[in-house]
Amino acid sequence: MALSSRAGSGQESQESVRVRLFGELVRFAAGRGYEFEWPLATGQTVADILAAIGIPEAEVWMVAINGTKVPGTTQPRAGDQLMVFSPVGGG
Amino acid sequence: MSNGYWGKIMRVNLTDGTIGTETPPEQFYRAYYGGRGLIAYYLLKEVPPGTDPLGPDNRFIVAPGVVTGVPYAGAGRNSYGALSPLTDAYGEGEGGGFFGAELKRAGVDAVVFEGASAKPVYLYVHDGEAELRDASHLWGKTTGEVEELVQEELGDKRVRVAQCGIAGENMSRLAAVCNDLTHYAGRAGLGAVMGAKKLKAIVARGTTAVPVADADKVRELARWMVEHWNESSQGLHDHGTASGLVGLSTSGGLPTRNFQQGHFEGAEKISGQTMTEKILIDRDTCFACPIRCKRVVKTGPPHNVDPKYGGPEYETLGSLGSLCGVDDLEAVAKANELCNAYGLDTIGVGVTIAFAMECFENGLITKEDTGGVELRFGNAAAMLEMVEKIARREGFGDLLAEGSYRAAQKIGKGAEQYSVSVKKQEVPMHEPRLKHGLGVGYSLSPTGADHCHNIHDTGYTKSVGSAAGWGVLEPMPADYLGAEKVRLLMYNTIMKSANNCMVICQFVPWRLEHLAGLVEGITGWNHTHFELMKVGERAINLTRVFNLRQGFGAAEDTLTERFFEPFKDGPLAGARVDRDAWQKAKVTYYRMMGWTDDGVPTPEKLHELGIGWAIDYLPADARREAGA
Ligand code: SF4
Repeated sequence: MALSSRAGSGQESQESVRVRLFGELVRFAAGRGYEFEWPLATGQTVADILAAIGIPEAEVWMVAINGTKVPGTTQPRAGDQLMVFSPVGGG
Repeated sequence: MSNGYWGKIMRVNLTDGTIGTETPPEQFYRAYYGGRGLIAYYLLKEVPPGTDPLGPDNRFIVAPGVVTGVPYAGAGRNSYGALSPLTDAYGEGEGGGFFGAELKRAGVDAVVFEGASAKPVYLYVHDGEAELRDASHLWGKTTGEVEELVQEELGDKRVRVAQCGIAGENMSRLAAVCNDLTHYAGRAGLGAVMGAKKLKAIVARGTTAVPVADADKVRELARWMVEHWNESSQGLHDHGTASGLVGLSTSGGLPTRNFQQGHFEGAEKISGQTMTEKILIDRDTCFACPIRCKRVVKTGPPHNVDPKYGGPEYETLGSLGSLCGVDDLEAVAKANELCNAYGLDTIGVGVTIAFAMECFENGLITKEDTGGVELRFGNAAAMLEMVEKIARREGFGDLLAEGSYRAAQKIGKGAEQYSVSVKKQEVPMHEPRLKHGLGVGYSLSPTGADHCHNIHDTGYTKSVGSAAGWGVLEPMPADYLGAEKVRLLMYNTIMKSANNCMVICQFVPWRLEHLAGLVEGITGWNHTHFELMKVGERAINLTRVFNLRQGFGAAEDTLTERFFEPFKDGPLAGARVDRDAWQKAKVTYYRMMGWTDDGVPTPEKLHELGIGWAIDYLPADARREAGA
């Protein structure tokens, strides 16, 4: 998969976050797979990004930025890793 | 003609080598289905208090259900049951794969073993017949060797084998029952019951299709799953049961270093995703299941993990990984292979090794005890060495083979506080300080700490999903323990008990109405979800009566002390189970179930479930308490 941008490379036209989907959320990714770059607009929150991707809020158990759990109102920064988890029972 | 079952339960007396059959009426199958219901029924009737779990009077029961063996997703599973040598209470475990379906197609609904053989034997079931055969040449062999030898001997690669492993022969209380080499009924030490009876294996070959009442209806349901499973189980297929491991660590609920922590710095290294990337060579499945959630892994030196034994589940990556502080994926895969080759419960083994690591780090045991092994968290080589020693009961492994509870009692010096177990059964890889209802479920489970017939609170925080079908319409927080949560817990335990009577895989995303539809289509009984839930509830009550008779009442419905203490660090720092809320939730569950405040089913409840006969099996004090 082509990576559209990485933080700090300074060559891309648009800033982005790296989205990582866990559990059963891949079905909302419209064929993008479990990991992809997502363009970041100024002032966008985590909840805004998930809505733009098309992941229903009720399907999300938890969101983390760079490994730390955050509320949906958090504004990520370019280059951040946005981890989105669905609940799983485990076995 | 009956549909879904043969009306034939095989009775095998291992002491005198006789084989007979029982032919229960239709009502029996409709009331109990098979699996847990059948096991609880026979144990209650035939295994009185005072029975030695490892003596000849214990029963060992192999039980698929009325829907097993018909081709649809989740139908290959099988239950095993006995008085547990690990918990001294009701013991049951389920394994996936193909064995259950094969046994059913061999023409029997269940096999009940009693007595003990003087020399190793295995039972070969085919075409409704069975024979005991010599297994002396299989004794002391790994599960892989046994399967190969049996298939060779019978000249049929298609025979399916359930067996006890070397750990079972050595009567380790952590011994599992293995079927199809890669599927394990791990819990409750049931492999040791087989070993004690010198029953090395049960081998099945089935060529007869299970009769079905409404083949079109069942085919239609089976097709629905083939077309829809990926809408909710793609992640399970892609990355296996460990697809949620990183999430649990991020949330603070990944059992780490013997449950001292809930966040593991090495989580990414042992995740399902990393396994897919680094060592996965194939995905495996169970009878008629399109989901293929099973892993097949292979590695080069130093561990040379053999793909024949599949690959680790989430529970194994947790128990032998984060719980032991080990972030070496290949080492955990090796530990999984060893447990599978020797027939050990990966959860019990991992939790017991982590227990010993905490004892070692606190100076309760030293290198003198461990035979020179530096048994510290994070030491992958030490973890692997202990797995081998437990399987063979060598040196310090002989003590650990008894499980963490009994090992703690032997070690003394306060070691009991480090045994994370409920009713002597090691706690699986789900954290009560994250999932509070699950903690109550650990206390109430008839088999000791168990995650399969339990609630996973995190699945109900944003939406209620299929629980709406039980009238639960509002999501609730994972740490909430009020009456609404208890209600949800109760419905979960009943539903999953019903699943274990059907003996159907809980990972397959069947809707509630589908399950009753499968029973109806296969058996021809006019069936509803209400009746299905009643079968599950009936079975829970039978296990409860059995356990009360074994001396397990409300006082034994405990939770490990550690969970009442707050996490010191990590995302859930400060979180603990509130003791008063937990106690209140337990009593609320009893009352909702129609039990007394001491957890005794009332005569009215037993009558309501159509099992008034079980009142006579309550111990005298419980009968008084329940007003019988
Ligand atoms: S979901 Fe997984 S465990 Fe269940 S039947 Fe399918 S392959 Fe087996």
